[in-house]
Amino acid sequence: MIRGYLALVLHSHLPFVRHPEAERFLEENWLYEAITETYLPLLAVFERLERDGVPFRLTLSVSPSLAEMLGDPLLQSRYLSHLERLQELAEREVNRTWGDARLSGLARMYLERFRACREAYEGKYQRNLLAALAGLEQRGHLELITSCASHSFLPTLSLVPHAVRSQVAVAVRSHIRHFGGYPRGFWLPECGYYPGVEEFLREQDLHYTFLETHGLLYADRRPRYGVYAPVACPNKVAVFGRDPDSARAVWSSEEGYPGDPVYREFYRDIGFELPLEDLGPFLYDGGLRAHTGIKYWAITAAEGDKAPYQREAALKKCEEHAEQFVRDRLHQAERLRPHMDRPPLIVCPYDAELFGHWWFEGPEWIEALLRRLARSAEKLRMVTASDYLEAHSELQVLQPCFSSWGNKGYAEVWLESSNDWIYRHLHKQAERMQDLARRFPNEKGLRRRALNQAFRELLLAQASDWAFIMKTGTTVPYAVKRTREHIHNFTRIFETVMENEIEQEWLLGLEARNNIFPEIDYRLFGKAST
Amino acid sequence: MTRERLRIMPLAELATLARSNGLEPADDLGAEELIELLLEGYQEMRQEREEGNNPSVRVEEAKFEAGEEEPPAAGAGAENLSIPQRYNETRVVLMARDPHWAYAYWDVEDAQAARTRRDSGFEQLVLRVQDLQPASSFDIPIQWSDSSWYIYLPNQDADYVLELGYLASGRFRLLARSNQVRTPREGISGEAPEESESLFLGGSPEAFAGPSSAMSSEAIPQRILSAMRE
Repeated sequence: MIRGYLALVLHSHLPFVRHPEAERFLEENWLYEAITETYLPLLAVFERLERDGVPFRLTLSVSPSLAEMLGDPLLQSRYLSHLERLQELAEREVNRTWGDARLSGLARMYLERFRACREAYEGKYQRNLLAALAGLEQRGHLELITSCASHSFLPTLSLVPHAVRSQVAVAVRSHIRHFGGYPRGFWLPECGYYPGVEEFLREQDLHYTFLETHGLLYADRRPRYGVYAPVACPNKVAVFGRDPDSARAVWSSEEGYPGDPVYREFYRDIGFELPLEDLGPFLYDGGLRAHTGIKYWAITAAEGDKAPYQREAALKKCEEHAEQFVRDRLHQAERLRPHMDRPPLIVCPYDAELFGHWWFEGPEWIEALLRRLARSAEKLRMVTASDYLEAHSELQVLQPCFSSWGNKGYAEVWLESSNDWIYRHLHKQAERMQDLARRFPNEKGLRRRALNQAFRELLLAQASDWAFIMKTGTTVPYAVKRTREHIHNFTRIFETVMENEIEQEWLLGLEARNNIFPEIDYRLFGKAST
Repeated sequence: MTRERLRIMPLAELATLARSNGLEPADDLGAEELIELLLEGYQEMRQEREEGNNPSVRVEEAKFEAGEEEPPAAGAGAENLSIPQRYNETRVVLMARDPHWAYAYWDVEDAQAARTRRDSGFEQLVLRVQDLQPASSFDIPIQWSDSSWYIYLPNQDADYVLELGYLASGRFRLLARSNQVRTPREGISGEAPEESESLFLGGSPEAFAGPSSAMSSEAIPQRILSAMRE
């Protein structure tokens, strides 16, 4: 007898960072680290489960900007160079730690991991992770969904409906190009929802999306089942709300699993700990330090010295945490079931990069979780949003509430003193793009290329990551530079197109550099559907 | 910024860096002491930033940890990318931020600004905040040099419009009206769910028994909510 459903939803995303003009570029590491620590390990988990005949089913959203990077030949070959350097560094580490009983085993573990990554990436996947994901979807394990073209935080663009529309429309086209199938669902970046955004999802024939808990709870009517059954917006787009308990268990670094003392410490990286001469191949221009991914210490206690990381103990803990998670969800379902006329659905959305990158053991935890869920499938069934809607198509209708999963649940992360200056430009640009599309309804040749590039620059400027970084302060100069760069490029194209003085050489250089969405068509801007 | 990166900076630059980060170094500090002060300051700033962030934001922040930022001098390239300071148009935009705060930005086109300043009765540039239901308003005096502001909106789940204008001879003269914004709700709606308001998304409605009549629809959400809080 089914007591409940569980929907695990992973959202993978990185902003478009690609700098062919530089030989090596620090921020491209965001992608390389995520491939090494999250995407390849997750693929390995899925393949082990498949090999062992363990049934599993989950939702994975791949943001279009991430998909574009994963499919880009330059970044693919640079990732391999990055792995080579890592492997070289790990070999040096094996020598350096030789005889150190605490660390030498770990150094060898990293060397093994990098070798395995290289083999998998170059051999098995032929550099093409998108095809591997599409295969998992075809074989029924994943439901792939899309997200905004450049991961914009849509509530800040609601003023210009065409801007929102184009974020969704370009995303769907990019998804089809990368994965073949039509996405049924849509991940709202940062769970950023405002009443009315569902119109743009429906226009693109998208059936569902996910909201932060209070997006449902604070709807115009009380949701009959809280967040334990999806609801429908008045226009029929289904909305699934995040379960707060399972969110806390996995996200929180204090009370959640990832903060357990036996797990690996994220911030103690040899890239920042060793003398410069030991980092030889890995230093950036002028000797800049960077994360290497080689980290030897366990979280241990908040104060005092860190203990060396012990892989076996950490993996054992993963099993315990997976068991606890399943037990807690079952308990939750049993508590809810008497109040509902259908089994409750527990929706667990997470950033994919949480697993592996932030929480090193995350992929192993997912593996342990999926194996356990497969064993208790007659009680707690893993579903995707589509599976659920096929089984339970009667939904309460209500109008969800403006919400996000950022601090305090609304827009304050992306709209505050550090980043509010961008919106004046983002709104104006979107209006200008609309002017361009109206004024030049069907251009050919160079002007068409200019208009298409203007569209790309517009989207790149709208990435919520820049505003996020300006607020959180991790690498602010880069985020400011990127925002200014795309505003500058857009404005320059706008002006030169209007004056009929397109700068061909500059434009072609820009096309080659900011080459996201190669098939973009500016005529799409403002069109409701095609 | 790492210790060795700070070590290659001249003393004067270290002191400037410390001051630009809100630290107040004594004048007689040596390079090593300044470096210690800066490193402690960075650590504290990082902790302060993180404390305000919820788990989702903290995890996401970790995605953007790559490495050392370039030294300040080398990072100045962004300044070469000119972007418009403003668009010289009379306009005011209102953006909802949370149930009580909104962000507004505005501009007054040069010729119109000149005309307004010449208006003999001109007293004060203002933002008039219009609460649409029930209709009420209040004014926020602003300066010509201002171009954006965070505005407190008293009511959640209410519609607001902003008017940019000025007071002249005791009367309000409109320059521009903003878009309408509805503040988000900050709590659970008092509206009970209605049985009639459900919808069938494909599939066959006969397959479902529908909500059990034994349960009071009024009570369910609270029970679900308390189950969630357990």
